[in-house]
Amino acid sequence: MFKKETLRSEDLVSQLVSLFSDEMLSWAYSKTSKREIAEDLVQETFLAAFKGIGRFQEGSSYKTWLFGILNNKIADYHRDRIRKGHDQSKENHLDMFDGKGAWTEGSKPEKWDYEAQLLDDSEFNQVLHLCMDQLPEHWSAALTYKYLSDKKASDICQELQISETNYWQILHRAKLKVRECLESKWFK
Amino acid sequence: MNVWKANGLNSYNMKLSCIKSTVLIEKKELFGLSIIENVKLSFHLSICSSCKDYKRQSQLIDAALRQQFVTKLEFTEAEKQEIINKLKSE
Repeated sequence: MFKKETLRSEDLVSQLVSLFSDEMLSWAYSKTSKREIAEDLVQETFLAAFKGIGRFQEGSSYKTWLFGILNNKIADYHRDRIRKGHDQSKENHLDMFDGKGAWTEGSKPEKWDYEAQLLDDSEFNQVLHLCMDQLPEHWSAALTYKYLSDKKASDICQELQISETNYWQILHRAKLKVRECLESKWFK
Repeated sequence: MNVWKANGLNSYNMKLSCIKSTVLIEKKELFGLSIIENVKLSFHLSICSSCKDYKRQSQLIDAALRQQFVTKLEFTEAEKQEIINKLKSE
């Protein structure tokens, strides 16, 4: 279809960037909750794509190809964060529970209004990103990574070489924090 | 307080604290629970409306993270040009 020289042509570079970069940026942001990181990942994706243009399969779509690379970069990013993370203050979420493990007065979950509509609400999704962004990096990475693919939790633990106990403890703390953040930022 | 040991699951006590029940709610989603853990959790949820709310909200957060909701963002023209220039100089 194209010769390598043609593929590297200035025209194709400009075309692919102007066609897909916004969509890739939005996608990367939805999976990282950080605009700067999303921008970097998109740029790295284009760099990797043009370096590996020889591997581009004739007849397949540029979009699928670019998003395939981008998804790998997103997964790498989260894996890296989870591996690097370690909890210094293990107990710091406990302020929502008293010494007996009961919800403290101000921390009790309350009913959320219009629950069913929340998922389609773009503002709610924005607040969710904000809350994810406030977590320690490896917590939000662990939480996001889980939903990047359909992998089972036990397989994820093996892949990341963390114990199952460690994994659900991180996710438990992350969930408590995100829930609390959503309640205070969205419902009050 | 060490939550992972306090109110241990080996105890014959049926009572589960709220914190432990939120732990089990998450663990159940990820790895499943033993029969005893399941019974204890169901019992706790039947009497504790806060934890029942937590469970539903936790599932809602899961669903929100799982769904592919994409907020539209855009590069500025200058940023796009910068990427293009970088690619060409490679």
